[in-house]
Amino acid sequence: MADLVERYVHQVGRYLPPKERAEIEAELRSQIQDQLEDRFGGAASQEEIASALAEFGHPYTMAASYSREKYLVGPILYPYMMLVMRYVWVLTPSLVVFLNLFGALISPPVDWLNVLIQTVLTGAQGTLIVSALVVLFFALIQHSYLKINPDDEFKPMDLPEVDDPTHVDRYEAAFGSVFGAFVILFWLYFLYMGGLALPFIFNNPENVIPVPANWLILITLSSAAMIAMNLYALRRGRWGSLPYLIETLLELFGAICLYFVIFEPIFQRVLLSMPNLAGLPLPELLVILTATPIMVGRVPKLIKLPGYRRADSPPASKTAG
Amino acid sequence: MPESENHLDNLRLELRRGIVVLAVLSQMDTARYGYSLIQQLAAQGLEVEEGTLYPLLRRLEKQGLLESEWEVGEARPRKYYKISPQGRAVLATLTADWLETVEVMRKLLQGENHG
Repeated sequence: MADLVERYVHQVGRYLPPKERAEIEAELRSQIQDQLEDRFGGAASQEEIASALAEFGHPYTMAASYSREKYLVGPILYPYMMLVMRYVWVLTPSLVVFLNLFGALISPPVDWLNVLIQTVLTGAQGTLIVSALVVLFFALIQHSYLKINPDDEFKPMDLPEVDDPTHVDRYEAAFGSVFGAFVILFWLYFLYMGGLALPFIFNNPENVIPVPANWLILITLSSAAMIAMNLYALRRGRWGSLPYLIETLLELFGAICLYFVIFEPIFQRVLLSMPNLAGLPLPELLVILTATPIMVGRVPKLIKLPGYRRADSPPASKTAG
Repeated sequence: MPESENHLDNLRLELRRGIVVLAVLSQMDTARYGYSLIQQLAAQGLEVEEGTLYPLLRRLEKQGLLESEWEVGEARPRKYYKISPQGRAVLATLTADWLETVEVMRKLLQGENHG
């Protein structure tokens, strides 16, 4: 009898927190033995013990009923984690493809099959690692001493209206500002190095592609201005049509700066090893590809903002009679 | 098991969830161990599963509504639970709430749609 009961108790214990395991196991053991003694006297058969244990339920279910539901990343943080994750899933493979392609284009001759395989493998590896880091970051926040309690901040009057173009998602704005700050660090690094330097080594980088310093300064200032607009809207609690227009123009200006800072310099370097590409408007196409999603995403809101008024009072009631 | 029976079982579970807490507190004036409480409740018509009751006792103890003590002098060690002073206060409040709820439900269930 002891053996089967012990096996059950041990299995339940595997799923329990270490601090409470010993006591819950002792309690459970005692309770099972009480029941067996009451139902079968002192000599229950293995089958009778098994039937009694079946009524207790699966060890995992029994253990779970002793603990409250726990999350690695809870429902409050989850949407923000997924927002960051979507950026990661787009940006990480894109960056890997760009770096591998760029490295292959400036280092002829090249085994394109090998480049393709390396790109896929490093893309997958990089995406997996960055995704894991994002989950770790949010899990640390979830389980830190920070109290994530939406009730503390909930003010019904502050609820955003449905499809409100003026609404500022504060977490999205904060993330945009942090991401923008990292981008500025990259521009400043390139400014310090006198051009695009890959890999990122401060002394004697292997390859520096000259970039006009004035355009690097302009894109840095443009990025800083975008962060400032983001923070302004965040502080104000809503977007106005003028700030949003300014931010849109800054983004478009940033796309133009990318032509001078990244696309054209890299294209010129690629032409050294692949002169047959001369004449192709690749940098111009890339600017259009960069600017298009900006406009597609922003124009509807730009159109909607100027005439939008928040509904501060319920609709007027119909006149009787 | 048909899906409709599953839904019914889940609804019954939801209905009983709060009842079991009140039922347990009401029986803990005398120190009891887990299995004896199951038998006590069953004798009065309330069947409670082991997987529900034993964790509940521990949870009520963590909330300060029950006190516990291990008795080692018997045939095997047993953990006895008894209602605490805080538990008595909560029991009184829950009992009043329950009686009020029963009255409200009686009116609702005997309303025009339910004869």
